[in-house]
Amino acid sequence: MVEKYIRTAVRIDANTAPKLDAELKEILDSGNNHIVIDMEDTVYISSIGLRAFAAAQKRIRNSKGSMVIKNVKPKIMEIFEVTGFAGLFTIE
Amino acid sequence: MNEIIVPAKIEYLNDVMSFVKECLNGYDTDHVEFALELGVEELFTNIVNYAYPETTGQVVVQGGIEQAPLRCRFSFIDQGIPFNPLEREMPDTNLPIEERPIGGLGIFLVRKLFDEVYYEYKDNCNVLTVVKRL
Repeated sequence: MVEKYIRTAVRIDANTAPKLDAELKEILDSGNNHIVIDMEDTVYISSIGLRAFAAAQKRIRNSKGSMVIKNVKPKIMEIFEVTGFAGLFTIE
Repeated sequence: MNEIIVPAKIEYLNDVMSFVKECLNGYDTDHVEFALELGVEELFTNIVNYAYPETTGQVVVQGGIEQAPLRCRFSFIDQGIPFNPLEREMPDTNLPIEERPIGGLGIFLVRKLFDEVYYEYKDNCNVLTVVKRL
């Protein structure tokens, strides 16, 4: 099993989320469905970023893959928690 | 009260963000910065994406600091299709991801992160106002 690794941007907003979305799609389209996302650098995320994660997670679930999110900062964790996303992902 | 008027285009998001930050200049806003940035992005992009399907209209943002209690208030105003985003059903965050509708998340976050969020339709304008204690 090959894990694909993504390190997210400092800000996942309307400007940068399309790039993240494209990156995730490219990995999934190439047949990999085990993804590790390192959020060490990320200090901001808006709904467009959450939607990129949700779209990838849907495909990963359907193909019995895995998506692990690492190094989530407290402010980002708060957003995952209030939206219920915390229960949908594996967060380490 | 301060005001900025920009075209309803995504490239003006940074101008609106700068305007909001300037309004709060001199106050300690570190603890509310995330909420404010998110509020500005979600409300501005909502107008950009939905208010003017046929034309390019304008977005007016008004607001500033209020005292006793210390708080900030910002209104996002457009002359587009009358639409109250607060009438949308709140997404059920307990639903499994497969069953979640993809929209509505932005306004949901705004309602969670601000102390007050309210909508008015007046003088042919949608006015969505957010209030956050500092």
